[in-house]
This record gives sequence, structure tokens and C-alpha cells, in this order.
Amino acid sequence: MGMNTVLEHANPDAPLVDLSDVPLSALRTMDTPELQRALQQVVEQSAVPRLYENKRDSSGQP
Amino acid sequence: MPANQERVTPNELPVHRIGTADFDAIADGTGDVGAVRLLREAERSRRLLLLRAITDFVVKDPALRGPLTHPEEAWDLLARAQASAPEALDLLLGHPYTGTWAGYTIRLLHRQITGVCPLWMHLGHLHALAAAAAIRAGLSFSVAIPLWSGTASLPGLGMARFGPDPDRMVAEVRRTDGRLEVDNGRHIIRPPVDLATDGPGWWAVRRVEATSGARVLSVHIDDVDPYRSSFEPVLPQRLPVDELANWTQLLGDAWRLIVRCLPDTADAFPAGFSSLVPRPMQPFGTTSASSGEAFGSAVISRPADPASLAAALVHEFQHNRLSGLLHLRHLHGDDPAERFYTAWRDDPRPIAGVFHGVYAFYGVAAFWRALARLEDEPFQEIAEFEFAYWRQAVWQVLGVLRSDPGLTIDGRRFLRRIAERLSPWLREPVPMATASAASAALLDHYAGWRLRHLRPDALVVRTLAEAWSAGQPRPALGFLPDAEPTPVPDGLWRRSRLDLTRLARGDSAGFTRNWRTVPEATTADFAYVSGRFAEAAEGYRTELLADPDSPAAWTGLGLALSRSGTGPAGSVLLHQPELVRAVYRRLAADGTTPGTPDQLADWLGWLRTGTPPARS
Repeated sequence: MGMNTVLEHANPDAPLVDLSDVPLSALRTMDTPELQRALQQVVEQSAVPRLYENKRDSSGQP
Repeated sequence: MPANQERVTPNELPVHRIGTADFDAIADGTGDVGAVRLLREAERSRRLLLLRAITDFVVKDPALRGPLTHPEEAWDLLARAQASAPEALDLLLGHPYTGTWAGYTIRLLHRQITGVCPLWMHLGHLHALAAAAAIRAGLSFSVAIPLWSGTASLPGLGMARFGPDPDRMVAEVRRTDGRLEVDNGRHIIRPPVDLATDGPGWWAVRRVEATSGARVLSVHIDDVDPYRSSFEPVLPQRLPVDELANWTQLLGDAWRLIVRCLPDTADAFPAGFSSLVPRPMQPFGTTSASSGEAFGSAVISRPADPASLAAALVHEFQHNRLSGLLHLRHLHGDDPAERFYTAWRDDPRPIAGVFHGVYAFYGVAAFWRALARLEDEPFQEIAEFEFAYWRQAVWQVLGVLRSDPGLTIDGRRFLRRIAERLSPWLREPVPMATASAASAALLDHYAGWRLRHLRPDALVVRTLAEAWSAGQPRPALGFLPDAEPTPVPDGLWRRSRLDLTRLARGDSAGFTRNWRTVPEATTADFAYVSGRFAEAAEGYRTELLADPDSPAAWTGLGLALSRSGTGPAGSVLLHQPELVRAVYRRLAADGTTPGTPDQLADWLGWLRTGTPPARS
């Protein structure tokens, strides 16, 4: 495995915020612009599920 | 700070990032466990955001609560669970159907629709999640959760069953002094101390452990979670004990094959796959599905053999990995146009679907390739066929997809890496008859797809019909470009020839005895797969007399003639079947039906049309 450098930017529209270190008690009251953007992003992604996300094969094999 | 995080400014939240090595490892499908863990951590953040979004929705509109308490109470219980036992919340967030529930519920809220049961029940699942986390954390608590058709789901743990009672829509879950009770106001269910076992009124989420050497795969067989389906919530469909035993055996054998065939993937598998939703067996084919919202899960029908299950697991693991990556990187644009041919779907696909299919079947090809080399396993002949079939199927589509302008730079890099690994496989030896059968099966599907989804130019059809009727030679047509495919199919699909081909490869001794068990198989199909091509051609002519529209009969005739005939009929029937059928239809409508379909195909001769998929 080569060096794990960041080659490019993450998803340029709205990078996914990392909540690993945010306890639920803090997340409930957090109200920063970037969190609001992140919330809007996941809501929009979920509201219009992309076709590929569900698969119905018809080839007779997986 | 972990290497995959980057703090944008001192006061901002970090964001999930994926580095080159992890990105490339996922593209290669080699299964670096670190990359899969990174995807799982990103999914955790995503699900936390969805939890917060749903809670915000309900807090703003108290009418959404139904008979349940304020969502802040559920949130507080989740927070207590996290404070007491962080792993309890992590398990809940890692539960695949937490993601499915959140996505489904957000869609209901967005569209202001109810779903398969009242909206408050879906929203109230937040309370059920909180209860499940609190149970895992060992807290004393009490919370009301929804009852759907008399069932109370505790995600990841099991389900309390009261039976339908229209007057009872909620149940209280309480835990005091280590004793758990679920109370619908009329009955109390007391699950066993060991929640992983069944008890009166309690169905546990059962776990199966597969071991191969030092590698262990532990998987929930989840037949109770209401959000386990890829599409809509479903009621429990309890797997009988003997069926669970069948699955346990199959999973054990399939895991052994994955470990033997794809050891790198096997390393990463446990980090990215935790739950399987079993579906009943289907004749001649394993069906499987997964959702980008349910990272770590797959819905799979019970396969006939462990090799098929292993292939299905690898396939869905690939989907899971790519879905996770797509939450971090854009690999293609959002063009929804259904314009691509693929060998694994009967309908034209959009770029997103094709991208997923390429990656999933690239993994499948890798599995069959490795299995074909294991002479001590009983799957060598079918594995050789599947390898020959899928390497070519993926390569065909990869060639078209890689030149598509809808790809991002990352998307091109991802596909380039697949191509670099797949390309040498095309030259690897496979028995001639097997390779030929695989190529013919792919051509069969492509011709059938053209018949169903390409519409020939009406002026060309009329010109040709008029020339035929006048007894003239076929007019010069020049190059005939393909129209854009339409998603509306012109004719039913029949995949009996492929099923027969697989039956012949997997059970050559029993083929003659069992071929009639293949759904929709005709005597012409049997003759074709048996190598009696003239007999098959005659059979397909007869089928066309009975049903001149039948795509399977047109392509069957093309396949048989291409092996038995000397003229161009076989070729034109396989490469421009939609044109032959359209002219035939026009002549039939005019009362000048040709003596046989292949006379017309021979008259049409060699044509230059369209852009067929790249050939390996």
C-alpha cells in the first residue's frame, strides 16, 4: 500500500462532516452554518434516492 | 486526529476525506480493511446527521408525534446510552436498517406522504432505536415505541409480537433492575435474558458465524427489522428453523470459498458486511439487492449452492463499498437518462447504475476467475463459464463507460484501475467451448435488448418493405445510426437459453433429464443449447409463426442460423434484429409476409448500423 495522501478534494459540493468526536448531547444543540449545510445535504440526498442504490438484476445471476 | 480527517479551520468541524491509497484500494476491489472502516465511519456521521434532521422535523411539528412522547426524550435516552456505553450507540448507528429507516422517513417528510403505515410510526422508530441502545447499554428506562400490526421492533435485537390489535398502537418498553418488559397495555412480553434467543412473544435477530481458518464472518440473519427491505418497510417473515440451518450451512461454505478465492476481500468483508436479509429460493437464479442507505447489508434469495451465494455476497459487498465511496466522492454526473446497454439488466441504464454494475460484476468476475482455478472444488466447469461471461460483460460496458463525458476525474481514475486489472483476464485461457457459450449468451442478450429497446427509423423500414414487396434488391442504406434506446420494452423477455446454458455447464450429466424444469424453455432452446442448430432454427421458425413478435424466437433464430447457416441472415438477426422484425411486421400488415423470417434477413444482408458494445 502506498502513502495514503489526499489526492483531490472530497465531494466538492458538500464534504461530509465528521461527527466522530461529537457526543449526541452536543449534536442536538449544535447550530453552525456548516452543520446546517450538512443537514441540508443529507436530506436532499435522501429525498431523491438515486436509481443505482437499489438493484434488481434480471440476468439470473447475482 | 485520524489521518482521514482534516480540520478546515480551527473552529469548524472536520470532514471525512479519503486518500489516494484507500481510493485506489476500493477501486481495485482488493479490500483494504482500513478503507472499508473509513467508509463505515463516514456512514456513521451520515446517519447521525439524518437522526438530527428527523428529530428537528418532529420538534418543529408536534402533530407528527402521534401518540408518542416528545422526540427530545428519545434523543436524551440515546445520549444517556452513549454516555454509559458508547459502543451501544455505535452498534445502533452501524445497524444497516438505521440507514434505510432514516432515508425512507426523510422521503416521507419531504413528499409529505404517509408510507406503508402512519407517518408517526416511522418517525416514532426513533424511540425504538433509543430503546434498543438503552437496552444494550444496560440502562433502566421506560419509553413508548410504535406497534406496527402488533409487532414492536427493537432494532438489531429482535421483535416483540402481540398480534394485531387495532386499539393498541404503541407499547411501552421498560427496563428495571435488569428486567426487560414490552407492554401494550393489555399484554406484557418479557423477552429472555439472552435476547439473542427466542422466547414467548419474542423473535430474536439471529446471528450466524462462519469460520474459515482464522477468518470469521459474523452475520445477522435479519427477518424481523421493518426497514430491512431495500424499498419499503415490511412485516416480519420468520425463517423456519430448518431454513435457518440451510442458510447457516450455505454461509459457512460460501465464506470458505470467499476466503480461498479472494483472501484480500475476505479480510475487509467483516468490516463492511454485518446483516443478511434472507429471501426464498427462486428457480434458476439467485436474486440479490442492496441499498446505498443500508451499508453492511444485502437482501439475497437462498441460492442452490455455496458458490452462487459467495458470488452474491461479493457482488453486494462491492455495491456497499461503492455506495459508501459515493458519499465521499463524485465519480460521475447525475444524468438520469437511461441510455446504456449492460449485459446484466434487461433495461437501458443511467450512468449511475452502469457504474455500480461495472464495479459489482468486476468483483463477481474476480471471484469466478479464482474459483475456476480450484480443481478440488466441484464448481470448476460453471466457474469457467461465469468467469468467461462476466469478464466479457464487464469489459464491453467498461469500454463504452470510460469514454463517457459524464465521468469526473475521480470516476475516470476509478474505472481505469478496474480496466488495468480486468484487461489481462481477457487473455486468460478458458476451454474453447465454454468461451464460445459465454460469447453466444452475451450476444443473445444484446440482440434481445436491441429488439426490445431500439426503434428503427420508420422511413428506413417503409423503404425496405416497399423494395421487398416490389421484388427489388435491398436498397443501399449507408450507415444507419442507432436511435437512443427507449426504456419501454417492445416484447417480453425470456432467459431460458441462458438458464439452459448454465444448467448444461453445471450439471452436464442431468441436462437432458432436467432441461424441462427450466422456466419457459422450449424444444428449440433445448436443441440450440444441445448444439443441434438446424433443428433449433426450424423450431424458432415455428415459434415465430405462432408469435411473430417474440424477441426470444427472433434472437434464437439468429443464434441458430449463425451456427448453421452460410448467409448473412444469422448476423443481421443478431446485430440488427429490431430492423428485421420491424420490416417483417410492416410486410405482415400489408399482407406480403415473407415465406420465412430468414428469407427476409438474408435479403437485408450485411448492414452497417449503430454502435455495438465493444468486443473483447
